[in-house]
Amino acid sequence: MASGIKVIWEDLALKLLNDRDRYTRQAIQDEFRRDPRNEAIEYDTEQGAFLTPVANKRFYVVWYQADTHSRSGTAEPVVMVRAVLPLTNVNPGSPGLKEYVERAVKAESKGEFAS
Amino acid sequence: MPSVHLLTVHGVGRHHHLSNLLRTYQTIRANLTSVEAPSPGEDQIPGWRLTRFEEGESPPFLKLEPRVEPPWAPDGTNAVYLYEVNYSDFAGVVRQNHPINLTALLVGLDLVVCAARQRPRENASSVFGGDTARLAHCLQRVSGVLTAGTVPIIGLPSIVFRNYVGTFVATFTRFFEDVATFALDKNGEQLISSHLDRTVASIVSAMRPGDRLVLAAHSLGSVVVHNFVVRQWTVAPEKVPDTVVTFGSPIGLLVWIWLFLDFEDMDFSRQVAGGDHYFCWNPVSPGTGARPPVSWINVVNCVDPIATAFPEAALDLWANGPEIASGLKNGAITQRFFGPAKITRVGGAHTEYLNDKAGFLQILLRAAGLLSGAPDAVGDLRSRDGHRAATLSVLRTTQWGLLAVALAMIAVYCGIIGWRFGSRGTLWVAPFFAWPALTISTLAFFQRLMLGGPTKRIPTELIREMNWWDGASFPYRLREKLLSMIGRSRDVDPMASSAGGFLRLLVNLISFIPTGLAMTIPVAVAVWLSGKSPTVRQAWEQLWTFPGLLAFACFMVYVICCAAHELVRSWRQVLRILEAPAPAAAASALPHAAPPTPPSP
Repeated sequence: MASGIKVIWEDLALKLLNDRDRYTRQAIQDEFRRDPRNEAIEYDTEQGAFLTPVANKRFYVVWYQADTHSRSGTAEPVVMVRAVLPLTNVNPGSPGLKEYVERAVKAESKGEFAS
Repeated sequence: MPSVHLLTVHGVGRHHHLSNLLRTYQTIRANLTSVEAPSPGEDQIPGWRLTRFEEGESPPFLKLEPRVEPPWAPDGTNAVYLYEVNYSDFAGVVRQNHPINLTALLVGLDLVVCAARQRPRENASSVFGGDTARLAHCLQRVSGVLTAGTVPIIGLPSIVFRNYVGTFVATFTRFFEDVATFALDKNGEQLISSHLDRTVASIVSAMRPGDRLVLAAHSLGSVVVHNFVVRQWTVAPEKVPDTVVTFGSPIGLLVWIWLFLDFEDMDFSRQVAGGDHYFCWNPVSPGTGARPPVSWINVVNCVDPIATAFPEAALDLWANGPEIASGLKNGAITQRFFGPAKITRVGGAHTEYLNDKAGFLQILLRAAGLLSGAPDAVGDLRSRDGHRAATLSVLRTTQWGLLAVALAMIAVYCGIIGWRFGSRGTLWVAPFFAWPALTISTLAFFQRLMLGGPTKRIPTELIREMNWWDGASFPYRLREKLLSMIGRSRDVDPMASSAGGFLRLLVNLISFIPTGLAMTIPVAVAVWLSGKSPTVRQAWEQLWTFPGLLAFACFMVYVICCAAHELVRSWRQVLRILEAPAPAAAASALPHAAPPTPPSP
């Protein structure tokens, strides 16, 4: 069952997602759409960025929350997915977590993108 | 940042050099139950890369490192080393140098169970709970099936259909050989233990401060590891692992049998007098003192006949409850119950742990630091009660299914014979074979009578003290009486050679007689009803026709189904006995307080 929250995948996230096989892609998308906040870890409090484990914690979806305005003018929360990464040793509260995610994004995108 | 050293220890069976190590690695990276080449999506740890494979090291190892170095964390991991303990090859050599006759081994077990069951008991309670007397009856029935299992049940098909059942027979044989090598043969036990000691010492010597040692052991391997941990607990804390993961472990089963066979009233402080103990092992701590806490996780699959959710008190019978609890993280073993409750998994569940990606493998990966999270935070598939209920439900279906197949097979057998003789009345013989317990106990009776003499562990005197009116001991008494009458009753000389090959072959041939007689009953009835009497040559020629071989195969399947039925029946009964409230005498079953002086290690 979907959470009802709108999820938008950024270019990098789509590229990293498309690098995975179709089963993993589907599992990540389905699981994340179901509940983006499930076991989410806020790794960057300044930017309100989160990590959500998916697919048996094999991958982490990197996302942040934004607001969009509907036609009626009301603000609606939107989850913006920045990347999908195979991370290890993700410990909530770890002081170097933000830098770790940035390094992982750089490595996964072959240096093409920096978080 | 610390590293994790994961040492896997295999169970019974033949395991080639590196097979255990690579099997563990491959099952993490791929779905080994699929016959297709693996796809990247099967990888359970995509964030890790293999950086070293040192197959020539002692012990050989694989090194895994994160693709991107993670931030420092006290419980983080920057490298995982996978090792294996492979005692299979030299355990095979041990048995090659000193072959054990499987029939003698199983008949010997049956005899010693019989002797222990008839030993006077008072307040026989154990740390396992349950009614000891009723559990002993179940054990006797199982040992009876095994006694009948070698020659009369598996022997015949293994000769005629050797091209098809050879692997099964080899596995069956190797299973009991390996158990005997570790539990009954002091040489085997010491060699295997020394091998594990040396392997752990090599790993520990390479570990840096903060590194963690994880032992993951399957089946008999868990018994080997249990023995190791208990021996090191109080004397060599540096060798004690941080985490132990046992899966498909028979620790509970073996410790119960050990208590039952070698101790008075299941009381660990009162070993049976004399030195003729059945087990050679002694998995108890050699001293007292602080025990480094071990995080012990035991995983049990549904319908795994070997695995037991053993109590903490069974870990070290020498120690009392608080002492054991002090050596366990959170004071207890974390029991986890997984595996599908399916009839197709009965028995096979024992070898399916590593394929359980959502259950067991999650625990293993977390214990090794390859996945985030605590291993004991992985939840059960079902509760302990749910596990027992699911097991009982599947076993009930299995038991009835086996009975149905057995009846169908004997009906087809009688039908083929009736058809060849032109007499449908032969089918009326089938109901006489409809009671598996009777079939198996008849075969077991003759095995006990033919082969059930004194052993190195059971003297003639003890057989003479057995009850004439007990179904299991009667054939032993009868044999002993008959041998006494012809002056051939004597104890086994441990230094003498066993019977020669010709005599063993002769005894095995005689062991086939009950099976052969059972097979000829429908033939005799068919001859009687039809009035046709084939010559021996005609009967021999008929055997090698398609219907003849089909009939033979049907009878073989019938006997095997009867044996399996009896095993499943006993299994169900054990679960029900353990579920029932213990009798008044056993209600006080508690971990025994430590005896005043420590036993020798």
